[in-house]
Amino acid sequence: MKTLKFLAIGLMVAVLSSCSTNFEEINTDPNNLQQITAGSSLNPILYELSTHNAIQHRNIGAQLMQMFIPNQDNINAVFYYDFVQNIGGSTWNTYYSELTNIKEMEKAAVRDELPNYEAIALTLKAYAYSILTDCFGDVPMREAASAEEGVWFPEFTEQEEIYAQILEDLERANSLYDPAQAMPYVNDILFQNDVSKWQKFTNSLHMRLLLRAANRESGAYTQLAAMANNPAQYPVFTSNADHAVLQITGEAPVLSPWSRPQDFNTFRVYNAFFIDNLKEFKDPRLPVFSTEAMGLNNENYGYIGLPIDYRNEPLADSIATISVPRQQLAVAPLIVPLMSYAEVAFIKAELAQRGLLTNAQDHYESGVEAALTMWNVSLPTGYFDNTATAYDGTLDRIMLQKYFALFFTDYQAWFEHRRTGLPQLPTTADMKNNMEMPSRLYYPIDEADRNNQNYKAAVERMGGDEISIKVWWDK
Amino acid sequence: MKSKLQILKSSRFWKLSYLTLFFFSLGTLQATAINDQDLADVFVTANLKNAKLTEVFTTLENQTHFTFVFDSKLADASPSITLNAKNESLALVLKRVGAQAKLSFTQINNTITVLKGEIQQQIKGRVLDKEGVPLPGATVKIEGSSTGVTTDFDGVFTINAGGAVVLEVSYLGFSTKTITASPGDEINITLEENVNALNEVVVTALGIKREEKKLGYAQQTVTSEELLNARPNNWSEALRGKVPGLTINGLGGPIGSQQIILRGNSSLDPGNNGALIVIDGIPIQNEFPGSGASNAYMGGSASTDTPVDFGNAIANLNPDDIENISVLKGPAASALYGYQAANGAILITTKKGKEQSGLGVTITSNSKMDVITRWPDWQYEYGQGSGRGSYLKPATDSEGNPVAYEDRLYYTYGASDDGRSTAGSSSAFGPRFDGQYYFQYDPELEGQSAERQLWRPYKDNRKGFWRKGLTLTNNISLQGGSEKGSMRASVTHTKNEWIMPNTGFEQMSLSVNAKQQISKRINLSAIANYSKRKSDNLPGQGYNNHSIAYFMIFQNPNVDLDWYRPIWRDGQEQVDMIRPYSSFIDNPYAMAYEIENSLNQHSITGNFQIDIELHKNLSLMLRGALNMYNKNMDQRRPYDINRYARGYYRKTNVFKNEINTDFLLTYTNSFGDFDLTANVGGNSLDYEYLRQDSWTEGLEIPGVYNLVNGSQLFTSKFEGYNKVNSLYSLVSLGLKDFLFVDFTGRNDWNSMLPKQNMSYFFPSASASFVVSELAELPKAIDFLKLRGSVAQVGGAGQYGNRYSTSKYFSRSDFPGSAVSPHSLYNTGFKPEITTSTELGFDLRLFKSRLKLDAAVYQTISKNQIFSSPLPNSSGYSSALINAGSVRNQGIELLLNAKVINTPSFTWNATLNWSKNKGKVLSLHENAEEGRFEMLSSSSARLVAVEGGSPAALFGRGYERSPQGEIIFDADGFPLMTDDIIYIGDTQPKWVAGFINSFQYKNLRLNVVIDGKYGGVIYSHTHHKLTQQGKLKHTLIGREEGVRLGEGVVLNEDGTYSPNTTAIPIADYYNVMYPLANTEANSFDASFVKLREVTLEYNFSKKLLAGTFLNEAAVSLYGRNLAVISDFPIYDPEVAGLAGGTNFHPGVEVGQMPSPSEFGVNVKVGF
Repeated sequence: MKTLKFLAIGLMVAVLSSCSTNFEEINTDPNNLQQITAGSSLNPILYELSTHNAIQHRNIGAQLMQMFIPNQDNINAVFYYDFVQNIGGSTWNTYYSELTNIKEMEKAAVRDELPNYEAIALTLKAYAYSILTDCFGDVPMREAASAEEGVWFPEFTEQEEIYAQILEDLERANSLYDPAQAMPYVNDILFQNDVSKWQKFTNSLHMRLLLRAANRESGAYTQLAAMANNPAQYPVFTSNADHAVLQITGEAPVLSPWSRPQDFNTFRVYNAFFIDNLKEFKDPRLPVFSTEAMGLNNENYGYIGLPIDYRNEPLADSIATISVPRQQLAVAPLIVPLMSYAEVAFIKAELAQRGLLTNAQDHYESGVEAALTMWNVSLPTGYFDNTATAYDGTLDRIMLQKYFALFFTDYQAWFEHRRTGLPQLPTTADMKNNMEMPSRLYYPIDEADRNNQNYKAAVERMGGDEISIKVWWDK
Repeated sequence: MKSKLQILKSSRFWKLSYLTLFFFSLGTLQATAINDQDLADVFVTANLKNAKLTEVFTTLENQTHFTFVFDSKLADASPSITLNAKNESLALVLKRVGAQAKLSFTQINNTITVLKGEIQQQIKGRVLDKEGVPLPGATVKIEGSSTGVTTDFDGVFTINAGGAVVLEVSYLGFSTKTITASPGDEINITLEENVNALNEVVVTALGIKREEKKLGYAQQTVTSEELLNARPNNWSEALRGKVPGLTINGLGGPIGSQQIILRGNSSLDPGNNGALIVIDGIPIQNEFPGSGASNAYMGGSASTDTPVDFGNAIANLNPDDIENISVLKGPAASALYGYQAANGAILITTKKGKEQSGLGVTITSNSKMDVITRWPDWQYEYGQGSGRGSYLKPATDSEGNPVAYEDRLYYTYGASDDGRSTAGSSSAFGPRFDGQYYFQYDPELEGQSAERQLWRPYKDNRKGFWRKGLTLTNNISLQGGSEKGSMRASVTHTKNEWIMPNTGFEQMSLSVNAKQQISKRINLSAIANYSKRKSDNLPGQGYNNHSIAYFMIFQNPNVDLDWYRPIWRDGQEQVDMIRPYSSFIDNPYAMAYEIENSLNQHSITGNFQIDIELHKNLSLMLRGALNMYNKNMDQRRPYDINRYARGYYRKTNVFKNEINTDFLLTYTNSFGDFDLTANVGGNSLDYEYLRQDSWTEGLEIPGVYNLVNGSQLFTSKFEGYNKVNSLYSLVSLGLKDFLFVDFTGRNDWNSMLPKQNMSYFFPSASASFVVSELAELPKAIDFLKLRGSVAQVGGAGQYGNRYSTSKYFSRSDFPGSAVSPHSLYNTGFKPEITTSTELGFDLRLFKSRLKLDAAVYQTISKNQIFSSPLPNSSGYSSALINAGSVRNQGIELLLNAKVINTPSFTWNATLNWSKNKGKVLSLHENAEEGRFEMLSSSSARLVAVEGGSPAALFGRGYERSPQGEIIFDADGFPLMTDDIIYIGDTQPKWVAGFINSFQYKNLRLNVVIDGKYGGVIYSHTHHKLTQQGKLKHTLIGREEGVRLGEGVVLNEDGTYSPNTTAIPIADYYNVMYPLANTEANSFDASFVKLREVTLEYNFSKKLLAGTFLNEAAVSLYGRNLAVISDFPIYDPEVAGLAGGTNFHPGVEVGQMPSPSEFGVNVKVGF
């Protein structure tokens, strides 16, 4: 018995070396890459972020801003500020997942000394963190995307610090661009490897975020004005030819975010606020966005939106269907704006309205025109002769048009509403959160559970994980 | 000298019962030269070493009344004798002396005459079964010697014997019989057929055949007959209800891939719970190459298609070629399989050739019809309509008087004078079928009818889609053999037309099994199985626009199925599909005839084995085995279906090759009372899995499925390689006939693990103690065995864990792109460890009329390799870790009774019952709130809970008051929990099977009933059908138009009062049973099934005597004939499909009907 055991062990030892000689080689994945280039992940990042944004615009942004809402269900109705706990889950997961790709891209760009790609990585990083922090408040940044380095549970970084970092990154990105160097990898789906357009995106984004933090960040307005006045150093979008609007061609893999287009518009109707304003504008975007209301016998009632307080202001029974989002908006070819030229124009208009730049009306009108042409409709002559559309010197007017310009642009209209309170939206007693526009999303359940200690610390610092808690720039 | 007779009855406190039986049988023999009665009843004791023969006789004479008469020359010539006997019968002692000195003895009265033993004489005999049919190939051996012969085709044998000998007659499937015979005798030996005979030989790990009584762990054999009694499409289905502790996760569908689970879920990796499948000694990886979708719910992510079951390795096997199945439930039994053995093993032995009377040709023909007998309780009283809001006529008439709800409902296909169109709704909250007329869909016009049509239900508009399934299986096998070798060949053809039109498969299997003794010491054997399986269409599974389960949910009571039948609009073939209602609903006939998933598969398994007898105690086995298949799968998607406006085409090729090479060195010897068997073996596994997918989105020419026709082409390739080398050893010790101890040790080197942890060693020990051999037990007890085992096995988790030790960027659909992984690699992960302990007994009473086998076990799996969730902000969503500990404890009982046992009528009843309780002892330190989510599909989540079940169902539920009542808000809407809550355990509390076999002369009736008690199952189909008002339970409240939710409201002062606010009927069913509310759509999964009924007539040999046939039987059978269950959809057992890799019970997401099966089987042999 003992001898046998020794024999067996002896045998085992003898063959040990031969038993696993090339095993490491066998366990090397032949299907995937161990190293990537700075261009490898760029298109997946752009596509994933954009399609996610489009879906979240439908699910959250458009509802909060009374653009279009579900008409079937008023349980956990986002438009009544009744959020499920996990409302921000997919945004959180998508953005951190892409931030990991952005980090790899940045590493590869630094390694291969490709400053343009490094600048793009910094820009996308700033873009991603800005959406995250504007949705939630404090979010992990300093230690984020570092599981590989052993940090499985990243601390949450305060929003003020996040803003400081992303503004610094954008500044640095701008300084890195070298239009003389071509981007060597596969064409990117946003700007087709046009370095100058990327640089304009960097600076346009820089302006968006400076403006957002302007109430808290001293000198922001001055800096904005300085940027606007120095297009040589800070080139920004000057027309729709430059804008960061992803063209979803429908040619795989650039497919619609909605593989079934009915998932976009089924059980969705426009709100009265949205429809009524466009009607008042005599806006040519209306037929692009919306269907017309129909009566019982198919008679055309024109455009009718659902009042937000529809329980107390029900529509007439004779109306068969009200205005609903056109399915075509979700059928490729379609557009998903990351940042439009119109937004830049409205930023300038606001700066001018605040007295930091001149020609507020020009900027306003450029913004409106760009916002229309973005949807392939041209500005009707006399559009601004309308008292509802003519620039009247108020921020309200600018922000109302900006609201329509931000249609289909992730959460931006909501962020801008939080910053300015504009446009003023109708309310109803059915709304939760004291009928106040929510100031943030709840932290996702997964993060709260899996990163509990850091979550708790952040919640304590912010004063709670409530949707009424204002983020740093909103205070 | 004559000494006193010593009959030591009183002084013997034990007396081996089998000896009693033995002598009893001796006593019945006649015509023997020796008066055995006397010699056997006289007991002697002797302790002699190298004694002379005379000394021996003196010793014996001193203790008995016998006198020895012998020639002194004979005594001088005799070798010295060693005799060690303690209270042994004189008969036995003399036999031993005779053997040593080559003498024989003849007794006349008190005189024993000693003769020279050289006079060899022959014993002649014939071995027969109960019916008097000769048994060819039976082994006849002289007990205690190596002399043995086999019977010829007429069952006749002759054997040389020096004197009276004990013959041991054995034949596979029959109980071995011992009989005393003397030279010159001509005897007829009748063997009793007995599956569970005391000394039955069973197949254990590595294919080593051993006597069941020697096993220290639970083992159960399932015979070929039990598998074929009521033949299902997938043979493993026939294991249901027959083995305690065995459960099956199946999918439904024509091929019906299955995963066999032994003793509960032990792994936190839900795909890693299946038992190891071993075919003829070769472990087979039971991977499941389904199509790409990751989830049955909406096909997973948007870009993936609905999943399709293309069959796994289990499903490929042909049951006609299976001899028997040995179920090794615990790690102790399967420890020798090392890294794959943690979940037990199913050993499949295929049929071998044996000597046969007649030609050895057997033909079986099986026809089976599948009929759906269990349907959801659909309502056909109300038709299509959302029943809410703007699709109701005004609440007041023109004079301002209120209008009753029922009268506010109307229907119109397309807007008409009657109102706005209500035909876009998928719900059935519309008007009641009251003989009224509405504008409806007109199939001729492909639009609104010109006139109002009768508002009527089409009650057959779901059932009518399905057809009767038909499976024809024909098998012919040839076999034959001689002493030196045998061969068997079999051809099987199966053609299946499944219950869904234009689905099914065809399979041709060839099997050859040969063995030959090529020299005195060398045996060769080879097995080859080839099968070709082909299918033009296999159905899409789950809940997705183009799964048939989806259509069955969305079909409305007022819609005629025939309206869909043309598939394409007139003149728009292959371009514009008929889909008259909600754009969500794809045409069902398109699902059958256009949305096709085809399969073309070739598979080969086989092995080649050499057994060499190196020495009489030492043998060596060398074996090489191959398991290879090539699968070609096509998925065709026409234009105008929901997911692909311009069609889609995917071609997948999977090539898999698994090579095992083995050696096994076996040493056997006896040392006095000890028997020793020692095995040392080694195995090398080389595994290769190559998958190539090419697909195109968009077809340039509609209806042409060719990659060249694609608008854009994509490919992806996956190559999976891994290798495992192993060395192992098994040492078995037997003490006399009552104590058997096994020790095993195994070391694996596994390429999936990091270099420093590649090698790992695990031991096991088991013991069997046959109490009835040792102690005097009450007369009723024939046999009592106690057994116990301890085992540890280690593994590397699923083969999918390969390539996990380093970081890899994976492809995306973008050209020239790669993205970061979501799962964090692990450079230091270690093997998993499963430790099991098991105790059991095997008790047989009343001449084995009653048998009870019981086992209790505990299995702890720790250090598990699985993906642990990480906070997404860390950059990864999960990390591959070693953590967690899951304990399973259980009891298994198997009770068998020959209730009636008369020559003409027998009733054999077997009841098996098992209970398993899984508990998660610990999870990873970072598991969220002590929970670890393993799967999520629809709104249900399968979660492992620390301190609870390893497969608990979680989801949101109703908010409840402290009294447990549902809380409603002020508007009468129920509140739902914000967080997911525990709904129940998907694992049953116990599982039982009841098998009854009745035999009246040549007629046999076999009935299997089985059931499960406890466990929950979530039903997505129930949610959807309820929400849409399509089940009968949604008829409550229709006339009133409102329904009051039963429960309470929370008052401002914190008290509760009954809810008094009724809500509109369509809202009621929507908010009470919404998708998000897992609780509301979960059911008790308990059931009882009439699983199998078989009635067989076996033509007797007498009847066949004049014909060329020597065997003929006809049977009628049914499967799944009746179900008792609360589950509202088709089948409480059908699992969901999660991804290309996992089945998960307890979550139903778009179920297929599971039919009752009726078959007829004819078998003839000649």
